[in-house]
Amino acid sequence: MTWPMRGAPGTLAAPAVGLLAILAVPALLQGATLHHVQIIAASPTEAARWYQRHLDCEAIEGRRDAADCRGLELAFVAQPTRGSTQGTGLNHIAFSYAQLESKMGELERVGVRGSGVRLQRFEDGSTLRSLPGLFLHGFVFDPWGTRIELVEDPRRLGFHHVHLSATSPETTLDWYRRILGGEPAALPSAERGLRFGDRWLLASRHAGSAAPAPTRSRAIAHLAFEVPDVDAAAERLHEAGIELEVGPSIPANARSDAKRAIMVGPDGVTVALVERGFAGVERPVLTGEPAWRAPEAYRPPKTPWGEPDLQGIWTGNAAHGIPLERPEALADIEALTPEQAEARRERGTLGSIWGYEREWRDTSLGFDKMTPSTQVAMIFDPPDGRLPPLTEEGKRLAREARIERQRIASRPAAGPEDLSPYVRCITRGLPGMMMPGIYNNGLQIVQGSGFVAIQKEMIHETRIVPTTPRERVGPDLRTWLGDPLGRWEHDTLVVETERFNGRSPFRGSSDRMRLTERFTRAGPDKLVYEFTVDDPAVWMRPWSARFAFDLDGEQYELVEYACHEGNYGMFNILSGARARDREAAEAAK
Amino acid sequence: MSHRIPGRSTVAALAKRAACLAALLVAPELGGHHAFSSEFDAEKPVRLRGRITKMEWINPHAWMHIEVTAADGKTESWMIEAGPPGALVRRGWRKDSVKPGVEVLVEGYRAIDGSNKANGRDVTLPDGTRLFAGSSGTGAPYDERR
Repeated sequence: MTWPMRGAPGTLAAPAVGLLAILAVPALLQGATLHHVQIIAASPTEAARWYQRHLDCEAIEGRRDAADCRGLELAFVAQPTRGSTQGTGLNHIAFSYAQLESKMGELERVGVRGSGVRLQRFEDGSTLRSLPGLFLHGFVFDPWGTRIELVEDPRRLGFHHVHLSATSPETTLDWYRRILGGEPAALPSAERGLRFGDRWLLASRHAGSAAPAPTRSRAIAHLAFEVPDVDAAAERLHEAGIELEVGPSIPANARSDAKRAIMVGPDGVTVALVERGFAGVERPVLTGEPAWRAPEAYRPPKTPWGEPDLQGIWTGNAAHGIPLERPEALADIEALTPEQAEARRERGTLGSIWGYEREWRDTSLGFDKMTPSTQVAMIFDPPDGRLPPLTEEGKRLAREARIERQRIASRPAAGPEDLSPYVRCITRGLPGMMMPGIYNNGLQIVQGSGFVAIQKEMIHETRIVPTTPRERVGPDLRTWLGDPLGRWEHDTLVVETERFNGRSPFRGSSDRMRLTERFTRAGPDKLVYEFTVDDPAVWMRPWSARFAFDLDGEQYELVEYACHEGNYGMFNILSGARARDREAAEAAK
Repeated sequence: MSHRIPGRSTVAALAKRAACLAALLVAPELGGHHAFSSEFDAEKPVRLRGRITKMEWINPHAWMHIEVTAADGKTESWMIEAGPPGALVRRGWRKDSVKPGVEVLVEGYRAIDGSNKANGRDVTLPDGTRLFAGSSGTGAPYDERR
């Protein structure tokens, strides 16, 4: 905890007399004010939305990468992150609410699920506590690791302060005051700080024996002050023996001609100086052309025995997040912009981040080398991108499947049979096993003369596809992954599979599904995967979808899926179910 | 108190409309190998500080074993679910970065059955850095090399 627990009630605006009275020398740079705080976030547009949605910030005209957080500009940049603000010299930023209990209640209700809001609980499990003589306060984290304090200080609503964590708060505050000015002041409880206009910079003693970690590459990357003239400021700093890390310049792709300079302040806190009107930089426009363009223009390499060579380790990471069906709101859109694609991916991450942290995945922006696909939807036939209407039997099967799902969901799993073939380490079925997930998307293709072996890391299925003519197995022999027959059509591998057992359906498919897959190398690093589902029992007409795999052998290796040995998940689900049974039995007594 | 930005109400209204459109763009997230909610209890957050005793590098999830010393001096063993081994390696985790004795801070949710198991939603070094950042390998997200 950073706040001292003593002191009498008073007004924040009252400067603390005496505490910092020795610091009466004029500052090196006159007229500096707090300009913005830079936060590293995987998707700047999503971060700006998140702060608007959850912390009452507002959009800033012409800036999709920033938000006006009730008096403080937060500027978001997409960069790899190395962790949260905790442990650095810039511990948190704080906002004040008139009704903090209701605000915290709102954040608690929204919860980490689907929003990425993380509450930091005190030792007794509460999210708020009262600081005697001060105010009620609590902490939350944004999904990118920024620690945020929420306080109930009715005298000062909105952005409240930036809180430094210093080896020596006196020395640190003296540095800021000597260089940037600010009015020595303190909270009534003697928390030390400086006032820049109506904004506060507070400093507390850094906890622990180690020095504060540098802010570079952490959630809050820097603190920026506005000065009238960055060139003049640099000169004065140089005369005072303070070196800049980045000299005065207009950054590449800047939105204004305001200059910026960067230095490292005490406790590893990066401090930027900007001129009036500084408005960040435009990100370079990435091209996001659909993956399946012009496959006919590419001639793939051949195996020594003369067949097209599809071998290698491929991943579907870039395709992760493309919905199977076209959303109705996107009926007329050919492709997303790269920014929209990035936002779609980040929303997917925020929707599930409570269970699986960013670095657990292969699809997290900021870690993933793949630029997310701009493809709107996987289904391209029917042309509206929607699944065709169901047949009468299809409707009956869907109804039965729904009832069965409800039956299973209505009580804790009785045994493994109540869990999906996926959780039971059997298979995700076809075409399910080809679909990109958040991780373990590795697809290894190995060929021999007349055979193609297709292995997927999750969950260990290996399909052996013969490519020479042969007879199908008999109609009574039905298997999880069916009976595949392959052939080469020009440079495309075509695989027709039938005789499924129907126990791992895809979107309601039946055991009568006939699946036709087409694997085409559209470039040295691109494998287009197209599939047609023909299941007359379920759908009124066949439908087709596609997405692309990227060659990824440089960084990706398939790890053995010793699925049962590693399946603690199954154990935990069933032992959790028995615990729920016991709770129910206790309650019934 | 807060600095005014011209035309912000219009901007806010536009932003709200953009957010509505954005919501329609949300794609369903294909989950992991098993449902979190049937394995861990979202109502039982845990915060553990302990030392690694063992690491199981297995699919679909690696498991980190840690020893936690309680306030009364007693030690407890916990199993922490981590990501898939391949993804962890690609993020820069190395055998060296999770070797026995390394102190970690784990925040996550406890197993429903009440045993000493949790999912490790956040696993950091005591100073808050991500575990991979302290590794001796490449130790960096993939992007830094691109």
